[in-house]
Amino acid sequence: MNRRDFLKGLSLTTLSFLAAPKLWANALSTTAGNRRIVVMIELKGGNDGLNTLIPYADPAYYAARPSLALERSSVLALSAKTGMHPALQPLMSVWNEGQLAWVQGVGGTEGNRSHFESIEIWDTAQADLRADNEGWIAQAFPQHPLAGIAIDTNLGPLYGANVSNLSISDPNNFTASSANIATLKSNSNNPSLQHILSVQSQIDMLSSTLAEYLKDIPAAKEAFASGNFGRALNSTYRLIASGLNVPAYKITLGNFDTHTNHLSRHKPLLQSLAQGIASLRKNLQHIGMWDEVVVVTYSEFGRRLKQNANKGTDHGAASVQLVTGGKVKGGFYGEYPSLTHLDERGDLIYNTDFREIYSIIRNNWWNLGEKQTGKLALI
Amino acid sequence: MLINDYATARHLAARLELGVNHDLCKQRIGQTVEQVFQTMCPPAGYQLATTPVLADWESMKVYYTSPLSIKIELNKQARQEGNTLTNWWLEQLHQTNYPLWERMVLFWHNHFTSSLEKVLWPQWMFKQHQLIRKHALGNFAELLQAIAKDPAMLSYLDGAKNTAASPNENFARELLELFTLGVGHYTEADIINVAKAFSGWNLDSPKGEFLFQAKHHDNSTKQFLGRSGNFDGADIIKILLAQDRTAEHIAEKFWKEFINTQQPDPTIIKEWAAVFRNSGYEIKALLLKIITSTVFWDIAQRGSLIKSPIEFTVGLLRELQLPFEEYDALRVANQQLGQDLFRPPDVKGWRGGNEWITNMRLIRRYDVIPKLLAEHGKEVQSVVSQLVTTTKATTSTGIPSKAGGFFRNILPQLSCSTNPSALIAWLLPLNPVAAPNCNQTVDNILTTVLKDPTYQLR
Repeated sequence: MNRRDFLKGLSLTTLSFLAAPKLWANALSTTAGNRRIVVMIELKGGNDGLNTLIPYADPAYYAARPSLALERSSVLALSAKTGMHPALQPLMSVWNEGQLAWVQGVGGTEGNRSHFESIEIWDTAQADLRADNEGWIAQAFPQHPLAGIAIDTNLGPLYGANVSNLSISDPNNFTASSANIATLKSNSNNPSLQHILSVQSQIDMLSSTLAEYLKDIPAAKEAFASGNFGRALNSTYRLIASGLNVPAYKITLGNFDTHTNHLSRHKPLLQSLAQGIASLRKNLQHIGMWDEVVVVTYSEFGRRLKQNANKGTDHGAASVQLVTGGKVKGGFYGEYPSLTHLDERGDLIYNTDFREIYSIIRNNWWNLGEKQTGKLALI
Repeated sequence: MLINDYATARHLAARLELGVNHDLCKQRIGQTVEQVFQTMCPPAGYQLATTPVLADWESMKVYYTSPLSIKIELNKQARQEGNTLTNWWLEQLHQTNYPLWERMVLFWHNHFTSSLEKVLWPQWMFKQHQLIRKHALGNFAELLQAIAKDPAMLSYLDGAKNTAASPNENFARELLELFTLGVGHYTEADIINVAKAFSGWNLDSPKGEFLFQAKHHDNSTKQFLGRSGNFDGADIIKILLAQDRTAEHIAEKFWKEFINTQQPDPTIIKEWAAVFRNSGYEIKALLLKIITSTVFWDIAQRGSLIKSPIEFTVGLLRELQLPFEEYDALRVANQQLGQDLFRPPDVKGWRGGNEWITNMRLIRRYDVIPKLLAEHGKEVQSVVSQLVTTTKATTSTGIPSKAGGFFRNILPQLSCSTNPSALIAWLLPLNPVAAPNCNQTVDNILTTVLKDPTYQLR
């Protein structure tokens, strides 16, 4: 059974899955090697694309950032025009093996520079902000028994009122501590009560299933870094390694809102990101599952070209996005935005709408639509 | 408006206070909502008995002239004292006679957010806390003017760094987006102009005080919401206070706090906002308008709000009246449940509503109940077993002999041969999803009630 048939077969609603745990558990099993998984990494706070993928040959970059520009000699050159921040060294081999894609000039939040609104636009792929807008991944899997797991308290793109998803801090902890929670039903139309009851029945169903899956997982060959991000990656690795058929995972790396002391704060974040992705890749390669995974970073906006007076950077617009995976075609996608032709706030103007990348993932990776070719077909 | 039955008194307590005090609810039957509201507000000049034990600012401010090694030490101390500060507030929340006041302090802390994660000094956070405390049931306009000069706020939203030569827009943006107008009611150009108006509103860090630096203030003409002039920060706030939207935005947040988390009714919001503005932004006037409104008493709103972690944990302790003092454990429990006081997740604060209940957090909520009770070990056990034995003793006389504290008034009904409806009417806003079996032991009945999903609602 291929992925599409599998999805087609799921004509039952989430609720009826909840009513039938056996069937539900079966639907989460999979044919090994046939999964199409996406790991979304939110870079919370607004990652500075300019110091991530650096336009090191452009004098305008150095002119606008006298104390924040990376020295040309330290940049890990990927082309005659752009190169990576030195802290991204662990990704160099991924690039050299042709599995690292950089989407340049990505944006599409129409000049919104509010953290909360912008990330919501990215999460839902919709410009009109409404509380009940669903995440773009939740929209793609309305009837999947488990559309996604956030190793995070924020579901982001997995959020959907009637979509099956899970937000946990650690899968083992989750299964161990949920033993006494039972499914209960009420005919009350109180939405808050119904929310609690639906979370409760989800816990009941999922914990036993997850416990089953997590029983004999090979330990990660290369240890993940300590700290929240490393732990979240480790949990993601374990869940993927368990063979669980879940199309998406979401984790967060925080503190990118570097209004002050940008250089010294940004570097360790990129280091964590690069090390983390490299460890995830090595570990998944080791168990032959790297080809089933695509890792995608995203952030609410980039940062302003011109540095501010506090050696920091303010909210900007267009930025870069990193996509990697065993099946990803490495290289550059989109154009690097001009550093001289800027918008009215002095920010980079995007040329690649992030929704186009979502659409490539949706259609070409999850096979949920007609396969797309063209300049952005990174997979 | 008259409180004519227990359920009405209970709804008022559940919405305005922290936990439901059974005795008070009974006493309030027959009084008016307005009368009860007066008793919920601390009298003028009321002072707290304690302040948190934090190092003297004089001993911390050497930070700004010290070498790195000493800075590291002072940072460490600040981190520890951050916990001292949080524990102290938890104690106030737990012990207060004015839970409405504490609720409003928490509400405004979640509106004018600042965090120990960015503001180094608990001393500054406490100063902000006192400011919020002073105005929590006072005047919003005064609070808004004062918060713009508050050291923790100047640090948290980078006002300290906003100068004419290099404007920092962080405070300007949040002032419009979160503190007053709300999203969609201003332009990017407005933000630029507001940042200019607040330029030079900086911070004297060693003193820990607001500092106006005339040389860093932008004296150009600013355009803002259709007006123009050489505005400074205070002018901007006055203009904001003259907007209907500011009062409406606050009224919408009150709706989320006191009615439900659905879309507010725009007609009602306009009505509330008008009362608020016409009162000169008196917070009590807005509150009183809300608690005497039809929508507040609509039976469909009973139990329509999910308790925050603080409402849940502190409410539980207050309801059971246990002599609990482990504020360190309470702080950690709330951290795990997603509400770490003085450390909101970001400038928008805790979102509340359904976000309080994720899979992990719901599991933890159910775990916390026996933990909070058992952390207390023997005292809890003895209260419960006292109840059990006394219940048995009552069957002959019908009057409990030994029970005290929270059990006092509900004990007669708790005998296993009767139904636990009084307990339910007190602790739950709705009928339980899983009704307790009245042939269980009393502590089992209590646990069943506390672990019922409806206990998570207020």
